[in-house]
Amino acid sequence: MNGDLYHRLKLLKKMRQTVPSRAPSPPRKPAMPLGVPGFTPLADGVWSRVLRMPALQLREVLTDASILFPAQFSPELVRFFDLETTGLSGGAGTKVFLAGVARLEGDTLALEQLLLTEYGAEPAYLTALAERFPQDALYISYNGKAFDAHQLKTRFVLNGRTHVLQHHFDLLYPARRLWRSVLPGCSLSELERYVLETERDQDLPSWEVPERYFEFLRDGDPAVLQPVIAHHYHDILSLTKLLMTVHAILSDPRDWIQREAVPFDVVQAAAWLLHRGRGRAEHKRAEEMLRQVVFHTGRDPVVRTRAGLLLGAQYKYFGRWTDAEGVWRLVFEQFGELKAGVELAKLLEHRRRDPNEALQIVLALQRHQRPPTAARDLAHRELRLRRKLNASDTA
Amino acid sequence: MSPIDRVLGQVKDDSAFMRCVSRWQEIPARGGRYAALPADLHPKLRTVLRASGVERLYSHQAESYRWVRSGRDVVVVTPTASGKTLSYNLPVLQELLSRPEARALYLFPTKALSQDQQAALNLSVERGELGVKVATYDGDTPDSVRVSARETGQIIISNPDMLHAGILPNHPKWIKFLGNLTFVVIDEIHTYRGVFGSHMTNVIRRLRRIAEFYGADPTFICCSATIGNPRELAERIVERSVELVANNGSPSGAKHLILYNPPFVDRVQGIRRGVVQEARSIALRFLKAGVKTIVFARSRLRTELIAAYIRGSLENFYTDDGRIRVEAYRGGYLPSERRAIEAGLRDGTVQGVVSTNALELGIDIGGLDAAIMAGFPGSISSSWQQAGRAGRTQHLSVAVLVASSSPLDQYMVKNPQYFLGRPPEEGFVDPENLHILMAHLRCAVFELPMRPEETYAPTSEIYLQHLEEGGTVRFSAGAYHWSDRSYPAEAVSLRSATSDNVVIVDTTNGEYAVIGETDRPSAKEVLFDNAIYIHRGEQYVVTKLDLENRKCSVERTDVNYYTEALVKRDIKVLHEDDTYDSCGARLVVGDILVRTQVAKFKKIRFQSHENVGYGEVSVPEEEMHTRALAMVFDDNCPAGKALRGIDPAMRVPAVARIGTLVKNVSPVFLLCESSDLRAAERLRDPHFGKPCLYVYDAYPGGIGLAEAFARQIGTILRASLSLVRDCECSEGCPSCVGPRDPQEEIDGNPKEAVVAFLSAWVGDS
Repeated sequence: MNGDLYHRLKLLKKMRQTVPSRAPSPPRKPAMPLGVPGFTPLADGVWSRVLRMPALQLREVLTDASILFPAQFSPELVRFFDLETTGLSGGAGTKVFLAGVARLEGDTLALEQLLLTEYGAEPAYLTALAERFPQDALYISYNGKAFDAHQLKTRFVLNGRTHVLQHHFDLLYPARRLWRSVLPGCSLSELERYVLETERDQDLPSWEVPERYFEFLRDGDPAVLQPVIAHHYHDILSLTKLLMTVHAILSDPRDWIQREAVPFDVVQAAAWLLHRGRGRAEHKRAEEMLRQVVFHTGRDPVVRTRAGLLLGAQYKYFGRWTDAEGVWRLVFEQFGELKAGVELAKLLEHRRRDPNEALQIVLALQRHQRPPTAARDLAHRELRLRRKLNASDTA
Repeated sequence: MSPIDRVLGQVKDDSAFMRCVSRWQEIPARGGRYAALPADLHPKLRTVLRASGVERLYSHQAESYRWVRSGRDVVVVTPTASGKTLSYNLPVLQELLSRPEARALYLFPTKALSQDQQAALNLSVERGELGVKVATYDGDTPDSVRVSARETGQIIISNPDMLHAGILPNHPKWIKFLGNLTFVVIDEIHTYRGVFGSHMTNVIRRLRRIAEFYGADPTFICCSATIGNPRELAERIVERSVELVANNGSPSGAKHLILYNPPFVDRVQGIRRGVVQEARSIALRFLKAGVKTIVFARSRLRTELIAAYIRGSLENFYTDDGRIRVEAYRGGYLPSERRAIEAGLRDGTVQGVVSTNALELGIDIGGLDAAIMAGFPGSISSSWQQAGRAGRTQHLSVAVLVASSSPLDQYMVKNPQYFLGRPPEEGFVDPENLHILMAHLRCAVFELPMRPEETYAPTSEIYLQHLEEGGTVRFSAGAYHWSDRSYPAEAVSLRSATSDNVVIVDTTNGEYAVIGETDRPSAKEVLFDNAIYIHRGEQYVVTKLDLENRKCSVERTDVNYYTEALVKRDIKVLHEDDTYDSCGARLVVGDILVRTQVAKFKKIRFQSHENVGYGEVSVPEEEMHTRALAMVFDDNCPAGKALRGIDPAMRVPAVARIGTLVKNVSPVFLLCESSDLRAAERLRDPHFGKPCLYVYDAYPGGIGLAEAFARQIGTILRASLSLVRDCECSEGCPSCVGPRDPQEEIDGNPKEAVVAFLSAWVGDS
């Protein structure tokens, strides 16, 4: 019976191998590593390494980062974190094997990496993580909200514990706003290349991370993990640099515009300030940025248009009609922008009580092909304005 | 007089029609048996029931309520429209009202069904302000709704596929739900037979394992309309002892069941009018009389053909009469298209529908008066299920079974007592099927490390060691851990053994619109270059089948033919597991490799169905490793002697015909679809060196049919013999061993040869 079973399992295996999904694995040789260079053991199967570096500038930034996150978090409560896992699809079978957390200690940054070297040691590993990941700290990550935080929570749940990172600031979101339109992509490595201008000597493709870990588990040779550990370390350092760059752009964008050191989406930066900024000063700064773009004849008309629409909406919101009219008129007259034209016509009709000029604007807008709903809207507007003009003529 | 009374009267007066009727059975109306609302019923629930006119329960509803309240697992088996939903809603709602933290999972075999269920439940929940939160969780549920469904849904409506690939692998997100899981409802349990059922048993094992991890032990409530062995099947699927509730207490209207055998076109050759044309004309008769009609066809292609023919015939008609809208409905349509057709049937804007068995299940499509089965659906239980789609509203209804020329169909219409008297087929599952078990074991280890002492399956530990050798799991601290970067549930589809689909893209005029999808092996047979693909009555020609990228480009076209692939198969024996002499032959059960090659296709003209040409096909061959039974006719065994006893020129034709015969007879005995099983004959088999007949499973890895065939071979062969001997034809007809093929160039009578061979082989008992 078992011979038969063995035979059938072998056949099944052979069938699987005809599907070119995974390379045949060498026979396993389970071995606990004698040591991982640079790491010290915390418990059986749990290793740690702490590296320190000066971080005076980072401390300054974290002291006043209210444009990014609520001011209640003192610099000491901020953690930068990143995880390496055995798979990228998530789910209960994906394990965390390398967790890194960086925090300020005085004027230095202490970056600790915790490595799990055997699945069975996960309970002890999580205990070590729980100590280093206090639930009330503010966690800064790159794309950690959608992935890493869930993975961590899952590992705790599976071990019958609860541990939730409550406060999370994911740099992916501001980064996307600032760079999506100007860079080929918004991965951390792309931001490193174009924004942080740091190039890594040799980086690891992300699919290789779990493969190297499995190889390490099989053969027990920590050398195969070295590139993973280095990669992970650099990811966390990049996080701190990225935070400083984002902060600098949002704190004093004029400086960045003038320097043009790193291109970024000025309009989106202003939008961030308008929506997330908590004070009058930030609004003023955003307006200033937008004005510079709108009235800067050397800039790309598309960007000028977007900036003009945002600025116009901002003026409209605060009832600053004269300012609004100026912006809309410029964007409409220079670039024929539909929305600016419609806003201008509405303003002329209802605020300035000038149906005649409003009609001229509508007629000008109708000279171009418009999407069906917009065309209907314009026709409707034209009709109403003509009725108004006729009524006043006869009156 | 209702339209249906009128049209039945006309039909009875039509002698040409009546000549084809082999049986007209009137199933009388039945009164109901009732029970009072349970005394402990929550007042709110009582109010809701009263508000919807329910003052008392059918006896089976009360019985199910009692069992579930006392903590037992049940299976409720009563016909369509007998108030099955209340059998489980009542105990579930009762519990949720008294214990709001309790949770229930409703599993329906298809997405469409779960949406219908939610609509019905929401309605009653809203009306009585029960305050029970119901949420659907399937592939179409938007991300934004998913979180709230998980956190607050007291009843989650889903399907096995979602449970398998979405919920279980991510169970830590479901901790609140799974930790309080009190009920699991499995509706339409008869669908979980064969391959699908074997997957289902494994999914339920995984669910119970995870529920246990969170401290929950849910009660199972299973339901079905027609199944021969409800308790056994339910117990195989939930793997616990289950109480059976089978006494239907609901009343039902009278039903006429008509067995119809199309008239002969050529009596000598046994050729009858085709089932497609006959189903069309009967459907037209009903539709024109104002009778809402559903036609069930056996394949996607036939569904499209019949719908197109009906619409074509109506074109003249509705210019001078009312508008009759007829839709096709089948798998492979986009969900939105299906929802629209279902809604049309409910609100009355669609009067007729032609469907595959996709509509056989309880999707609410409102009251239909007539059901026409274009061909025997392959099982008695499917027949009753399809017949039951007409007459949900307690009024008079009619069901017509139109027989095709296949032996099975002919057997059914010629033996009405057999059809009417036979209990529905039994469903069986084989959760230990190696292919299926290994797939789910991987998923289970992914979900939670597995300790060696866990009894997931009888021999799990051997399998786990095998996985460890392959490096996908790793033993550490007393348990096997998942150690691979893949997400194993992704690689397993519950519906068939391969999970990759080919997407069908309409590229007419440079557009790019996805119009459907199909699995890869059948794509090779229906979507080869230059094939005609029919979708909702539109014809498309395949411009490019790109198997590598799982994409098939089609363009709209308008031609007068459709296409059918000519498929060649060859078989290689990989391993003989068991050999025994039984039933007069050497029977070998083992593993084979089946290679399928589509080399040519036929063009078949619409309406006349004549062959109007051939085309070449070049697609790579499909390989399938499966389980087979080989009947080897050694020289000295009774079968070998019997074979040598007939004219040498007749030996090849005779063995070939027995292949046809047994493949078509055995579904009734093996409780499968005819398509689950294949047969191939060899006069001199390269492996055995003897004449032999293979019967094998149509699924990779096998599903136990070949083994079951081996066990029942005596019964199947004797049934085959009596079918062929009692057949009215002279030289073989489609009803028994197939018509004479002029290309064979044989002189003798092949049917007599088969009878002689089989009689000598299995005797006259």
